[in-house]
Amino acid sequence: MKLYIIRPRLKLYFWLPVFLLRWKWLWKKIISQNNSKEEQEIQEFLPFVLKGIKFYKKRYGHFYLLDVETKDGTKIKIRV
Amino acid sequence: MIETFGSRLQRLRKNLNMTQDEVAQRMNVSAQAVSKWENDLSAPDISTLPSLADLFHISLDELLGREVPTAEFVPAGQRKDINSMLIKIIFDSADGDKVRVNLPLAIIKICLESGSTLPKIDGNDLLNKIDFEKIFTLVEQGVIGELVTVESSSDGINMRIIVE
Repeated sequence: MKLYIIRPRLKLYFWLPVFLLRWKWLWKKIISQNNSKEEQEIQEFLPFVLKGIKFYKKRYGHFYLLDVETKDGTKIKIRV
Repeated sequence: MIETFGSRLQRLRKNLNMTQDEVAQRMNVSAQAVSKWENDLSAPDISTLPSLADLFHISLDELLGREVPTAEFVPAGQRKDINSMLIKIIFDSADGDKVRVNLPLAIIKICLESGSTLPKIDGNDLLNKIDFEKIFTLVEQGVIGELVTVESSSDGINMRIIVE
């Protein structure tokens, strides 16, 4: 997958392995989940996330998993 | 009476309690330009329309006056393969931050078919109100489009869930 970081005078692109989507920290940051009680549920759910994303990409092609634009003009995108 | 582009722009601006100066600042144009838009004396450059739509937290279709159904029912013979559909979770904050998360519906389908349950997202005030299993059931029955709209009164964040 490709990570884009775009600012007015800066453009960065990183290629990252898809298995990083199993990184629990990333998902907790996305959904602001800081409750340890739900950690087990998230851990069990992550393989389905990865499987579903791989299935979709294989059959229907690339898509933007995440598209963030902050008020200062910074854009962050993850294209799978 | 048909609403012109200018009057629509003015209505959208006033709905957000913004002045023409504030719109001009956010769009990097002069206040006079915004005034001309609202009086239908000129129109914004086509390349700025997406930014304008984002500013008002609406789609391009809505900005241009096209009626967009929030949710629609699709008869059985006309539905897309559910595996090809995406669930789009859109967060728009009052101060201009925008987050879009696109997840294949296949994730929910695979999880439910395996007998697992979807995790509760209690850490997020908006997402913890959403039952994704019910959303999936609605989609299976042919309902697509903007299925959920939630506005948090405490921090001014709008959340929408669109399935397409």
